[in-house]
Amino acid sequence: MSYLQIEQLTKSYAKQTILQNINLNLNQGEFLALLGPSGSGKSTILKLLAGIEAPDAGEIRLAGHLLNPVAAHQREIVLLFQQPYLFPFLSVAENIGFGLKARKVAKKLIAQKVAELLDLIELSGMEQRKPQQLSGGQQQRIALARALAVQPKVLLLDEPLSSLDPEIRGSLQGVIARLHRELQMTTIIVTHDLSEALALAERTALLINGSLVADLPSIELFERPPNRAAAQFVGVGAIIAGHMHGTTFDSKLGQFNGNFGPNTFHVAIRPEHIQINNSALQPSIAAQIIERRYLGERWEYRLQAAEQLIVVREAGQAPRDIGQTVDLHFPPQQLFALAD
Amino acid sequence: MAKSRRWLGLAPASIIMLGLFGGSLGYGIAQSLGWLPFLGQRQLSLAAYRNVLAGEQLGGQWWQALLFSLWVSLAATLGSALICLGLLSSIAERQQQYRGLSTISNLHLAIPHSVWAMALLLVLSQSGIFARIGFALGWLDQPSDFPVLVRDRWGIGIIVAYITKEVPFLLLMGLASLRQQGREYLLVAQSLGANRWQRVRLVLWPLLAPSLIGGSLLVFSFIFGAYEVPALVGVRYPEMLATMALELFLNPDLHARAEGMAVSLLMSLIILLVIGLAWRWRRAEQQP
Repeated sequence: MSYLQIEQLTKSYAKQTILQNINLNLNQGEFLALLGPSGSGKSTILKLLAGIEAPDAGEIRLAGHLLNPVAAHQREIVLLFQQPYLFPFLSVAENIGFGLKARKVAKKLIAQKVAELLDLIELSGMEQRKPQQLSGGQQQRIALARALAVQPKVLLLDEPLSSLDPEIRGSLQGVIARLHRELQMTTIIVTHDLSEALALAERTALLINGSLVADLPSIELFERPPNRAAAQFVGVGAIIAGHMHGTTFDSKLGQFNGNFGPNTFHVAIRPEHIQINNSALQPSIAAQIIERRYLGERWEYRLQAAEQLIVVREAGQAPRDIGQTVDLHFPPQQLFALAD
Repeated sequence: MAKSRRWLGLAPASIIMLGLFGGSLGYGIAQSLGWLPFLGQRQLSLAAYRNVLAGEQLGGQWWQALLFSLWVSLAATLGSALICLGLLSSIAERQQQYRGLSTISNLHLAIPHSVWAMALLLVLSQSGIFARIGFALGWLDQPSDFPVLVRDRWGIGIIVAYITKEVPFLLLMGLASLRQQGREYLLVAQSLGANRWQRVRLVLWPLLAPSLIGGSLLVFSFIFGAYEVPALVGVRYPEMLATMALELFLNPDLHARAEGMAVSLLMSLIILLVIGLAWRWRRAEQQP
């Protein structure tokens, strides 16, 4: 039995359905990313788990116990918000010890725990500072320490890094990953950033328009998204429409060999797996470059072939010219079927 | 250079303010010291203060009025602050209710104190609406059996009038603090395991304290110095200091103006003293 079970969770606001029949299971100590565009209902799931909002239907169970009737402050599930929301009238130490004080833990033990956590987040010596005296990254670390202080059964992170600079975000991702490795706390992070989900979580659930469209190991979701909605969100090189003829997939772009299954109507490939101008490889498809942009380590090209838009990412090359016609090769082993 | 320019920029407003405020204050002090040129009296003395604080006629009246004013002002201020804190505690976690409460409070603030006091008089007096309803329903043998809630010797009517008038004012100040992420802080506290009482004590109160204490000081100062509500719903004895000051000031014997001014200035000193003490207390509390 899973540690955290979410069954048929549904939530609406003012007749607008935000979540519909969400089913999710988490094992103890697992790190799950809830990925999706803005407004997809990710944060709502966290609010329902934390008990800040009540579901219209569905059940939440923790270690077998039904959580629905349990008040938020008794759930032992801590939600870390997008903003740190450190209490401005308390010092750093008092902020970290807040949850322990609410649990009536002895002052001496609170001080000990605060010192340990400050050490863990590498901010020792800042006990007496006020939140206003800290940088955004430091504030978010303190908020994380404050959440960890109460040793929650589940830690919920609601886009806690989205308001930070890229450099600080990277360093805090490292802190979160390290803390999860060391503490093995069951954690769910909400993010709209695929790279963040890949960097932190071993498993990612993709939510679009209030429905769960994928729930897979993070790398698998990135490499081989299972359906069109997931493929469009994670970004693939091409989604090719067609139909199966035996072991061949027929499309406007040509025929592709592969055992995609009898009811396959779409196949896809990642943009970095499409090869350009390698004449030794057949079959090849002629396509015209219509746009290009530099991504840092790779060039990304948008190409047109038989009314199909194709995205290709190519590393370590001088840029190709816009308007140039090139041959594209889709390695059969890199093509995968998409469910509708 | 930049500093002197800044002062120069402020000079027109400062001169007008100092001229008007300082001029009237100076004239008031002079009158309280017996400088009444319209009576040919130009010699300065502390006679008016002696009369007010220890005079045979006014001395007793002053101390009685002082105690009564302090009682009414403190009771109305504390009552308003506690009701405001209770109301804010009950809606703090329901942000959708902020706007409604704010609208009601704003509308209520637009009603002048004198109009509100008269309305209370119509409702709560022994010949008022409640008394008549009670009599019509058979709960009272006579409308005059209705409890004395206005024009009573304990100042209940004045206190009720001020509480019902000042709660919306304090609510608006508190709501302004809550709107600055107040709900989020409460959600964080809830998520960290704080129960409802702990959230009020450990989060809501520290968030609201600066605005509520500041607002309460304003309310105290206003009630302590205001005249119209005690005049409408109070009794002649005991009376509040503001009523006493005005009566002295309007006395046909113009010599009483010095005492009237002395009472007004002593009231101002008491208000300054209360504000000073509150300020020191807040500072001491904020020290780590």
